[in-house]
Amino acid sequence: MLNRSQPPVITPLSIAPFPGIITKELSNGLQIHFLPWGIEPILEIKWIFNAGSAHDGQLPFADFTAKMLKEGTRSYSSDTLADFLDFYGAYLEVTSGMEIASVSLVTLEKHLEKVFPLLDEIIFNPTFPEPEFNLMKERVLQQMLVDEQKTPWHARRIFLSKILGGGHPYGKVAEKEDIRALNIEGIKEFHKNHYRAGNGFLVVSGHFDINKLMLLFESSFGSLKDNEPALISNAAKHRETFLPERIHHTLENKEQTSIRIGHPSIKRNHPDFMPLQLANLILGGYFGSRLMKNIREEKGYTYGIGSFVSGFLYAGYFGIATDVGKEYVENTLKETLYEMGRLIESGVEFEELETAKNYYLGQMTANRETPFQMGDHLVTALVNQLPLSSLDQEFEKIKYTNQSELMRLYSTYVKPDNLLIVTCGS
Amino acid sequence: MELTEDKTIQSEQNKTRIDCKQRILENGLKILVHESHQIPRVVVDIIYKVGARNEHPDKTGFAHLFEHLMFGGSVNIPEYDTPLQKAGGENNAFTTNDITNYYLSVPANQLETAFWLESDRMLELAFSPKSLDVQKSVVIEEFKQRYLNQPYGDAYLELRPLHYKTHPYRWSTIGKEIAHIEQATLEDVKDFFYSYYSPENATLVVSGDTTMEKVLELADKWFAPIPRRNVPKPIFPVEPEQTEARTKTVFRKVPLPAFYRSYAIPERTSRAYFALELFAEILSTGKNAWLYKKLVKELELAQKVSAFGWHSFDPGMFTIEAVIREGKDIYQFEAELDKIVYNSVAVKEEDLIRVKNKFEADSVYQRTTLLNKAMGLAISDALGDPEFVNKEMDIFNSITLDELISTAEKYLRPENSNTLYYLPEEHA
Repeated sequence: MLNRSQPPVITPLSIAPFPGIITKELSNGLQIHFLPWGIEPILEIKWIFNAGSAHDGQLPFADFTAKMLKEGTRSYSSDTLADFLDFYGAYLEVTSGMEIASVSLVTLEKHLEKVFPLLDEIIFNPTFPEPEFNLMKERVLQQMLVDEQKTPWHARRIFLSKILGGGHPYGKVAEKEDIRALNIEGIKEFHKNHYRAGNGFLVVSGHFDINKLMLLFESSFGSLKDNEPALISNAAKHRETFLPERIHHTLENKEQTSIRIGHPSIKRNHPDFMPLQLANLILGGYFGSRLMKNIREEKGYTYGIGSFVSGFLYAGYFGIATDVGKEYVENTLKETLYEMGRLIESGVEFEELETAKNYYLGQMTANRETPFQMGDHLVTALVNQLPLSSLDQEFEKIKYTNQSELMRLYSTYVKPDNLLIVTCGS
Repeated sequence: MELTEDKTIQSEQNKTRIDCKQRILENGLKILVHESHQIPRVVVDIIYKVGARNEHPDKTGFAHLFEHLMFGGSVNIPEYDTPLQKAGGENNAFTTNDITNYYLSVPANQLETAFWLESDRMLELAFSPKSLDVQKSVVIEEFKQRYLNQPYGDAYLELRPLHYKTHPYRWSTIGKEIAHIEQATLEDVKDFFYSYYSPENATLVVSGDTTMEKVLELADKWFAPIPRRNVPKPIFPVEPEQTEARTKTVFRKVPLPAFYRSYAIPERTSRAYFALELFAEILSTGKNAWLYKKLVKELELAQKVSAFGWHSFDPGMFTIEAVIREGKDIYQFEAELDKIVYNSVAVKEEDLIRVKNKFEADSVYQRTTLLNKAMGLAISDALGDPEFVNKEMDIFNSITLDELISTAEKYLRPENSNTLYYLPEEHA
C-alpha cells in the first residue's frame, strides 16, 4: 500500500558546475570573455561600459545616453535600424544601471554577420538627433504623470534616495526639472567620455564559432585606439551618511499603502554577501520565508512581502517591500520588526535552514539555464571584481553555512533599531 | 502498467521543435514528456482544463481563488511549499479564463518529490477553513493591488462586459466584484474540486533532465491510483454576432485619459487569429509600428499605444489600448486611430516577411527554457493537440498578404467594436 504521507527521500541535489570561460584579447588589448552554452542556435554579445548612473554629475545623462544610442547613427535613422533588426529577428538593447551600461545584441547564429556591424554603428557612431531626444524627454515626463499616481513608485523613490544617506551616487532619482534640464551637448559629452574601447569589456554567450567571432571583432574593433584609463564611478569615494527615520508620503484615495523599510548593508564582493543572501531568504526572500508566512499566509495583510539585499561595487543595502491594505500598516510594521528581532535572538531551526539551503541551491542551478542568464552571471562577477572561481565557490559557501554562522549574520547585518521606514498611501 | 495508449511523436532535425512522447493512463490522465539534458533540472507542469469561464455568474473569481487554495495542504500532506523547497524546488501557478496551470521546477534527482506532492493534491485537498479564510483575504488584497490601487487597473473589468453579453468571458479571472470572493464557502470549494480536479481533466507535462521510462514509473506509482471523476463536458454560451458599435465612458481619478477598444475575433486555433496576430505586430510592436509612428511620434496624440489579441480558447478579443497625451483630445485620437486600423491594405509583402522572421526568431529565444517548453506543450494539449505548439510557425508562414488583409477587413470593423473612454474625473 502506497504511503502518501511519507515524502520521498531527498538525495544530495544535482548541481552543474559553471562552464569553462575562454578569455581573449584583441590586438589593442580589448578583452572578450566567451561562454559557450546551450543547444539552440542563438547567441548574445554584451559590451559593458563603465557608464552607469553612478558616473553622473547632477543630471541623469547616463540613463538618457543609453536610451539615445539607438535613436539614429551615421548610416541609419532610428527607423531603418529598427526595421533592419526586425527583419533578422535580432534584438539590440541598451540598458544602464548603477555602475555600468550594457549594449546587448541577441541574434540567431545564422544572422550574426548581417547584424554584427550594428554594434559599431550604435556604440561609436550615434548622431543623437534633437527631435528624437525631445520626444524621448517628453515621453518620460508624461510617464511620470501616470507613475505619480502609484504608491509603490513614490515609496521606492524615497527609499532609494535615503537608503545610503542623501546624495549618494547609488541613490539618485531624477526629478522632472532634472529631465527638462538635459541637453544634447551633455549627452554627446557623456558618450564621448564613457563609450570607449578602454572603458569596458565584452561577454559572448551561447552557440558560436569562436574563431569566426574573433575575426569579426578584430576587423571591427581591433584597431580602436584608446589611451585613456577605465573610469571609476563617483560611488568609490562617497561616504555614506545614513540616518534612521520614518517618512510618510500622502496619496489620497488609495486602498493600499506601500511600505519600504531598510538600512545600508554590505557591497557585492564582501565575503559575507552570498551567505547573507541565504540569511535574507529565510527572513523574506521566498515563499516559505518568515515574513511571507506571518504577514501573507497567517494574517492575510498583503498579496506579497519580500526582503532583499542589493549589493553593488562600492555599497549595498537591505530592504523589505510590501503593499498592504491601508488598515494593516501598523500591524505589518510591528510584525516585521518582530520577525527581524526573533531571528537575531533565536536564529533558525535546523530543518528550516536545510529547506532554505536546498531551495537556494536549486534556484542557483535553475538560474543557469539560458545563454542570457549565463552571460549575466559572468558580467556580475566581472563588474564587481569577483574572481571567476567565485561562480562555482558560491555553491560550496551556501552548502556549508550552518546555524551558528546564520546567528552571526543576523546579529551583524540585521538592525531593527536602525531603520529607514517609508510609507506611501492615504 | 496501466497504459492504454502509446503514441510517440516523431522527432525532426529542426531544433526549434519541442519533441515529446505521450501516454494516457487508465484514469484518463495524459502525460507528455520532453527530454532535455542541458541542466540537471526538471520542470513539471500540470494543466487543469478549468478557468473563469467555468464559473457561475454569481460566484465569479472562484477558479482563481481555488488556485490559491491548492497551496493550502492536501489530504495526506499538510503543507505544499515546504517539502518542495526542501527538495530544492520552486513553483507557481496562474489562472486564465480557460485553464488553471500549476508548474514547478526541481533538481533532476528530486522528480519523485514533485510527483508525490502533485498527485496528493489531485487526489484530494485538505479543505481547511483556516486556509480558506486567509486565501480569501490574500485574494482580496490582490484584487486591490492589481485592479483598484493603480491607475487604469479596472479598465478590463469595464471593457469585458461591454464586449461580451452572454459568454462567461464577460468577467475577469479576479472576478466581477470583491463580494463574490468574500461569500465563498467551504462547500463551494469542495464542489469545485470534485467537479473539475480530476485526472481525465488534466495533462501532466514533464520537461528536462529525465526519461520517459522514469516518468512512467513514477506516474504509475503516484498518479495511476487516483480515481476518475467523470467531469461533464461544459457547454459555453455562444456570443451573438455583434451588429453595431458599443461605447462606454467612465470617470476615474487618473492623470491622463485612456482609450480601450476591442473587436470580436475568432478563437485561438483559427487561421483568422494567426492573421490578426501578424497584423497586431505590424500595428504595435517596435519603433516602426504603425500606431507608435503615427499617433505617438508624428501626431503626438498618445503617450503610448498598443494592439494585441487575447489568447482565448473561445472566440476572443482583439484590443487596442492607449494613454492619451496631456491636453490632447481622445476623440481626435480615435479618428486618427481608425484611419490606421481600417487601412490594412497598406500592409506590404516586406512587412509580412519581416514579422514572420521576427516571430520565428522569438520562438527560438523562448525555447531556451524548460518551463516555456513545458507550458507550450501543456497549453497546446488543453487546446486539443499537443503538437499545436510545433505547428504554429507553419501556420504563420502559410498566411499570405491577401489573407491578412481580408481577415483584418472582416473583423476590424466599427460595427464589430467596443470602445471604453476612460477619463479623468475633472472631465466629468
